[in-house]
This record gives sequence, C-alpha cells and structure tokens, in this order.
Amino acid sequence: MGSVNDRITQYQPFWYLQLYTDYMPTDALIKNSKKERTLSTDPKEQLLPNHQLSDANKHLHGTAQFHAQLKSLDFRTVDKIPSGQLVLPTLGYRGLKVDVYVNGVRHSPKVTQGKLAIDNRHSISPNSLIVIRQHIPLFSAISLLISLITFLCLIFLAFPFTLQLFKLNN
Amino acid sequence: MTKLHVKNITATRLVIFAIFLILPLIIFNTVLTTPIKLPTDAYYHLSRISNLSGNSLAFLYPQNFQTLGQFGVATNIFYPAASFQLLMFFLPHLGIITTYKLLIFLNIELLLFSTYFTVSFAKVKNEFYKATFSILFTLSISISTGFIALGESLAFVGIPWLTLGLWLLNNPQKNKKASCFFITLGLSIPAFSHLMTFLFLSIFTLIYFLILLIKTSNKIAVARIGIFSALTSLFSCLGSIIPIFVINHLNNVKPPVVDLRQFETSFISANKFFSFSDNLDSFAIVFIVIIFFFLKIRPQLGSIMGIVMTLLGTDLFSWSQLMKHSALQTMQMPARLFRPGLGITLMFCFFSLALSNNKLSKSWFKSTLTILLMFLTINTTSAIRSNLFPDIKENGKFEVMTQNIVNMGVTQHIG
Repeated sequence: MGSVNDRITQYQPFWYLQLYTDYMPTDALIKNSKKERTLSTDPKEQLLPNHQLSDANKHLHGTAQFHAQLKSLDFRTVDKIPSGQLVLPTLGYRGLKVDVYVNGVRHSPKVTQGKLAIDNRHSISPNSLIVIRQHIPLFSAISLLISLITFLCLIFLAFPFTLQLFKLNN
Repeated sequence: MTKLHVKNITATRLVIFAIFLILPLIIFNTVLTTPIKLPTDAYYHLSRISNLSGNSLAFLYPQNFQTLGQFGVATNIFYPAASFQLLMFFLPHLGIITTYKLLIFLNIELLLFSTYFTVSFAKVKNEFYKATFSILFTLSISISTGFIALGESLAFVGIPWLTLGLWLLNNPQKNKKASCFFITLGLSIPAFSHLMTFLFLSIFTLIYFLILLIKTSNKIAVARIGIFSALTSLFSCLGSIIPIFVINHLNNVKPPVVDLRQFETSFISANKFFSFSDNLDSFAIVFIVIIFFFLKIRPQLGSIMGIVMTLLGTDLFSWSQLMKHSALQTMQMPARLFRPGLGITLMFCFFSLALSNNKLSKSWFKSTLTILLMFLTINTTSAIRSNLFPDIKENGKFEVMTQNIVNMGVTQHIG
C-alpha cells in the first residue's frame, strides 16, 4: 500500500485502515468475529466505523459532520429518529463514565450489546447535534496517584544507598 | 584519585555519551528523512501515539476516540501508555511519523543510558566495557523488532534496572537495601509500557526469589527484601493494574486473537542464527559473546535462568505443544520470551564481570568485542533499511500512500 509520511496521517480515513477487534467488548462482535483480528463486514459491526445509529426498531440511521477528539466525539443526525432506545456508534464499557448530549441535553448512557445507548423520550429531529464525552475514571486517577506516591517514597528512601553506590564507583 | 585521572574519566565519558547520541542516528540514517513502511503491528503503535499527542493527560482517557476506527476501543486501559506520554512530553508537536521516529530515538537512548548506569552501579569500572556492553545490550534485544514495536521496546528499559536489583540481592558484599528500589523500578517501567513483558519479568523475578531463598543461608534477609520488593512493586504498578482489573471484571473483553497455528509456529528459529540470510543472523554474534562470557566467568543464577528463558523462545523446545490449550496461549508468540531472556542473560553476564577481577581486560578481547559490535551495528543499520525504507517507483520517487490508496484500503474493511 506504500509507505507513510506525516501528511497522510492527517487524512482522517487513514485511521480506518486497520479495524482491530482486540480489547473490544465481545458483545459488540458477531460470533465469527470473536476469533478474527479485525472487524467483519457484518452490519452489526460496521455501524461502528460507519458512525450509524440504530433505533428501537433496529433501523440504521446515518450521521454527518463527524468529529473525533481526545475527549469527545460529535456528529449530527441526518434523518428523524423515533423515540425509544438509540444505540450509538461507540463502544461501551461498564465502569467507564461517559456522558451523551443530544442538542445540549445530557443523557446518561447505558451499555447495550457492547455499545453505548440512550433512551429517548422524544424523537430526534434531523441535524440534531449528538456529543459523546468521556472522563478520566476515578479508579485510574487514584491508582496512578498511589503509584506515584509509592515511587517518590522509594526514591527518597533509596537515594542515600544509590548515592553511596555511585560514589563507590568514582 | 588525581585531578588528571578525574579529567581523563570525564573526557572518556563525554566521548561515550557522544557515541550514544550518534549511534541511533547511524542506524536510522537511511530512514530519518523518508516516509516509512509500517511492518507488522507498527500501524497499531502509530495509532496509539497519534491518540496520545497534543495533551499530556491523554493516557488517562480510557477510550481511543481519535484513531483505530474512531469508535472508542479502550486501548489506554489495556495498553498502558504512561511511559509513552512521559517521553512525548519532551517532544515538540510534530507530525505523527516524525514523532514516531523521535520516540524510537529516545527509546534507544534510554536503553543505552540505562545499561551504562546500571553496569556503573555494579562496579564495572572500565569505561570501554560500560560503553560496549550498553551498545551490545541495546542492539541485541531490539534488532529482531527493528525497533518499531514501541511499547515492548520501551518495556525493555526496565530489564537493566531489574537485573541490577536481583544481582545486588544475590551478592553478599553488596548493599541489599538498594536492590528493592531497583527491582521496583525495573518492574514499574514495563508495567507502564507493555503488560506481557511486565508479566514475564514478574514471573522471572518470583522464580529467582524462590530459588535464591532455597539456596541462600541468609533466608530471613532475602525473604524480607523479597516481600518488601513485592509490596512496593505492587503499589508502584497499581496505576496500570487496577484499570485493567476493573474493566476486565465488569466487561467481557476480547483478548488479542490467539491463533493456534501462530502459537505453534512463532518461534525464533535457532538454525537461522547462522544462515546470514535475514535480520536474525545478528544473534549469532550475541550468542558467541554470551558463550564466551560463560566460559570466562562464573555464570550466576540470573544468567542461567536468562539463557533458559531465551532458549524457550526458540524452536529448540516443544513446550508449546503441551501448553497450546492453556492460559499461556495468551502470550500469542513463544518468541516473546526470547528478547527479554536475552537481555537478562546479557545483563547478568555484565554484572558478573564486576566480580571477576577484570579477567577480560586483555587487549585481544577488547578488539574482538569492538569488531563484533561493528558487525552488529552494520547489520542493524541494514535491517532497519530493509524493514522500513519505502519502495521506489519506476520514476525514482518513493511509493507513498495517497488518499486514493487509503480510500481503497478503507473500502475493503468498511462495507
């Protein structure tokens, strides 16, 4: 396929060349994909890279103006989406805090079939803005803090011995 | 120590550090300014780096929204990226491929300087040996990955520190208190870089402690340091372990695919060491050095355990036949044991020199080691070019990926 330079990595589809299934929730995969390294062409899996929404009747809806950033994904709906459960084109992991905003209104998503889903009381009109925002998990922040404190204490305790070793060698 | 002697040592060290800075430029000179090919898993690592760029706390956001299909795979949970993020903090905000090359450069520097300082702590006094050992270690454990397996390669920076900690523990005249610090450092670096390497090194450390406990007469001291090291290592690695435990416990996550055929066949072929037909032939040089060390100095527990681990990663044993339906299959490739095993063996051999009263100080040995290192450097440089250098079109230009090619590639995956 050719070699890669800085410029081509700025082209968004470049990041769709290999769709690895490693570390995905298995519920988001069809049975055969559980042994494959990359996503299959099955519609159930393809709604993820195609950024499609799945409504309560399992109908797929396209999206537009998809933007991906470190903390959030945002896109606009193309057609009218009926009320009820709406499955989003994003993987869902239980234990991770994610907020979903539909036209600025906050929804707490649940995880359905390995993907994020929200319950719509009202239908969603075309050109509505959906934002998916992730947060740093508390358990990650606390455990990293413990790691840092442990390490700093250890450096403090070990410094005299390390210095002694270093002096011996000079 | 006279002032003149101190001046000489300082000058020698400056020369060595200059060589360390130049070495990565030499071995990567062919691809420094060119586009690069992305062999094996390089695309995956590139995707992770791209997701980490631009924000110093990016590694704490669990889901990858920016690459790998932009649908939020939790790569930062299962592939801890704190070490990458720390290195990227020192890099200017450049293109992703340039950043990737600079990370490889920093990775090599870390390997070189880690080895240099650890052999210094182990009282290898001769500056020539410190420098050559550092280069030998760095090139030996990196060559078969072509340096591109960032993550695994960064985890190897922990090996010199871990082995120093274990070596200090096994030597009665050494300061055992410092060993705890080095063991913790040696396990923490891989814990925040590459989990599989962390797992191998942890198991190695555990077995080492158990054997030492049986062997030693000072069982209480060893047990005390072992327990303290285990606790400090556990706490210092919590930042990468806890998120995995939590997410794995609450979700049914698909582990990396383990193909039985791949597990059965992905060894380092020992017969290729001497074929001089691919990148692996450099290992012949490394093994000649190791055998020489073994003949000249008294091998220690660590170097013997290391060589066993190395050989288990080759096709000289058929243990994978018995283990192919066990949990060990998650390591994907038995060859993964090879590189850390080789690194551990080399480091323990270097440390043994500190106790050997400079048995290797003869000039012919220095000349031989220099020649072997030159071969190793030449071979590595050539291997890098053959792995990463772009193909050339008929008009003499590089065959570079274009938007059309990307679109065609994407169409194959997305229906």
